[in-house]
Parts: sequence; C-alpha cells; structure tokens
Amino acid sequence: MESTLLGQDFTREIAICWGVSALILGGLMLHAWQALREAKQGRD
Amino acid sequence: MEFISKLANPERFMRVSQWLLPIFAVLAFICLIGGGIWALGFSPADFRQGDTVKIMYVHVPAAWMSMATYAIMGVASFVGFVWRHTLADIAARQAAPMGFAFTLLALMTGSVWGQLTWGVWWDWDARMTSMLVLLFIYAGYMVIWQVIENETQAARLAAILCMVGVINLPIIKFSVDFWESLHQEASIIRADGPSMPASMYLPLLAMALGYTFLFSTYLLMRMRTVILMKRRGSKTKGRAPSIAKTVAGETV
Amino acid sequence: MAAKRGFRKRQRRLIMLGLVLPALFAAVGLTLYGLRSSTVYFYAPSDLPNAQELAERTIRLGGMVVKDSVVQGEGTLVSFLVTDFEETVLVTFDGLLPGLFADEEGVVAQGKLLADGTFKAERVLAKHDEKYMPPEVAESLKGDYGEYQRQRKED
Repeated sequence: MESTLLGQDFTREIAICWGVSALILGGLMLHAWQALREAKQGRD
Repeated sequence: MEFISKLANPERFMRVSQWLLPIFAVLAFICLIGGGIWALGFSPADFRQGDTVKIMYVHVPAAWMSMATYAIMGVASFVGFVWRHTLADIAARQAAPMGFAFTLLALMTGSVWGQLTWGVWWDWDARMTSMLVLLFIYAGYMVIWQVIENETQAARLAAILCMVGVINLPIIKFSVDFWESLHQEASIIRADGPSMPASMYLPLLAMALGYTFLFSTYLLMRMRTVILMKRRGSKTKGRAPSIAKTVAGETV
Repeated sequence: MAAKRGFRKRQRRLIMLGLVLPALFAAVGLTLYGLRSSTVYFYAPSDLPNAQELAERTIRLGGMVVKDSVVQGEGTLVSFLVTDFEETVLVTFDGLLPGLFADEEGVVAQGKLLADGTFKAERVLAKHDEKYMPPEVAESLKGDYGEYQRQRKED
C-alpha cells in the first residue's frame, strides 16, 4: 500500500496557501501604514 | 507594575515606539524573506507528506500567532480593565484584526493541507472546533467595539469578553492530547524535543519570528495612528467639539 | 481624597476579577472534563459499543490499518482491518482512499457499525502523526523500517 505523497505536484496548493497569507497580511500592513501616514500629515 | 505605568504614558510610548517601529519592520522583512526562501527553496520534502509539508511554514506560524495575539490582548484587557489605562485598551483593540487574520489563515491553510493528507477539508475534531471558536471570539470582540458607541463602555465589555475567552487558549493547545483527534500532536513544543529535523524546524522558526515581528510592527503602527488621531481630536475640541468627536469616533 | 477612592475602586475590580475568572475557568474546565467521555471524536475498536446500542448512529472508528489487510474489491470497493492492538474490526468502504492511507498507519473511518460486527464506512480519513523527516533519512532507516515503526508505536 502506497503511503507517500512524495513526487506528486502540489505547486498550486502551496502557491494558494503562501499567496493568500501574503495577500491578507500584506493588505493589513499596507492599510495600517497608510492610516499612520495620513494621521501624521493631518497633525500639521 | 512600574514598567507598565511607565509605558502607559502616551508621550513615552510615542518616543519609544518611534525608534522601535523601524527596527521591528526591518527584522520582519529579513525573517520573512529569508525564511520564505529557505522554506520554499531549500527545506526538504517530507517522506510521507511530500511537498505538502511546505504549507506548514505558513500554517504553524499563523496558528501560533493567533494564540499569542490573543494572549497579549488578554493581558492588555486585564490591565485596561483594572487600572483603566487607555493605552492598554487601545493595544487590545488594535491587535484584534491581526489576530483574526492569523486565525483565518491557520484555518484556511490547514484546510488545504487536510484535504491533501487526511482526505477532507474540514472535520469537527477538538483542535479544529476550538480554533473556529477562537475565530468567533475575535469577531465578537471586534463587533463589540463597533456596535457600542460609548468608548468607555465598549472598552469594559470588550475586556470582559476577552478575559473570559482566554479559557479557550489552553483548550486549543491541549485539545490534541486531551481528546482523540484527527489533528496530530505538537511537533516542536514537546517534552522530548522537536520530532522534526533542523532542516525543517529552523526555517519554521525563521517564519515564526517573521510573523512575530510583523505583528509587532502592525500593532505599533496602529497604536501610533490612534494616539495621533486622538491628539488631533483634542486639539480641535476647543473650537468644534462635535467635529472632534466624530473624527475620533470614526478612526479610533 | 480622589486618589484614595480610585485606589479602593481598583482593588474592588481586582478582587472581583480574582473571584469571578477562576470560578468561571474552573466551571468550564470541569464541564469539559465531564464531557470528555460523552464527546468522543472516535472510538477505538476495543471501546466500540455494540450495534444495538448504537442503533444506526453514525460514529467514527479510529485505529491502525493492519498490515496486508487491504483488499480491493470491484470498482472502488475496498475493505481493510482496523486495530488498536486489542480488538480488530473489518471496515468496508466504497470510494477513494486519501493520499496518506497506508498499512500500519492511523486511520479514522466515519460510518455505521452493522449487526454482523463489520463497519460500513461512508468516509475514510488518513491520520498523520507529528513526525516529520526528509526522504533520504527515511530511506536510510528503511532497513530498520520495522524498527522505526515499532518505535513510533511505543511513543
């Protein structure tokens, strides 16, 4: 009985996991950075 | 206590966070780029999971940070509730979106991995169910802040929810030991050392450090933003209190 | 004066949390402990209630696939033995087995226990353990693979 996934191609699944992680975390960071910049400018 | 009171002074917080913020940002960048290249390019495949093991490098840090973020919010809520330190309330509130995102990512990446190895996207075992509960607690916490207009009341109620929800953390951690579960037991944090070679757990630790610094950067940015907005609000208060209130209410 | 009142209020909040939170946590902990036996995720073959008791209820059966017990039938029909080293149950399943399903590995089958003592699975899940290693290391252990498997079971 075969018990390994070795040698199978999971590029799509790995790309989805890493991509979605980068997108969500990156999006939050970008949003926070923009808000901070606006808050700084608004102070003047 | 001395330390908390010192940090609780917004002026001092602004001074300290100003030079801490770029350091955290650079460290997050280095760890995530380095860890990412290491994990995707150089870490070996697993003898049974094959290349699906590469999903672990984003799944495990997200799961750890979903719990670490909640623990931080629990402490901040406690300090805010007992000592009425506004800065602690701000920290707890601003950490929540990131904690929600970490939980969501842990569930999502785990689901993809589960489909490939277990054969199912989802199953109601203790680990998965308790992580879903954590997601709902995060959501409920953020809803309380959104729905209750009086900020002081919102802070009290949110803090109580957060402190009660802390009980879920040990449940998540020990769910795989306490109940029979589909999810495997811990591979890194275990009494007899990691059940994983260094070629896998070192890139994993690099990614986890990266997530930690990313979260620190995010939290400092959010807290600085809120404090700056509050200052602007109180400056204009003398002239037009109603406008100042709306500005603070919208963005804080 | 105001400072003193603030101090008393803070103490009251601390005492309140000190009483309420541990009581709450203890209550949740005890409830979960009590629920432990009634909220089984899966039954091991030796814990399995009999078919009358279960009365057609869908349950999960968890254990290890017995070596060389997997028999392919017509189409996607398959049967295998699941053991917890005390009792062994015959499982029949009509469908595709998951990628990591294998002899001497953990498995969770969801389905119904039939009157004849066999388990008719509607869903078969492969359980993965907490051990990770590169294929070269596994290859070098292959001579001792039986030894490695034994060690794993002892853990």
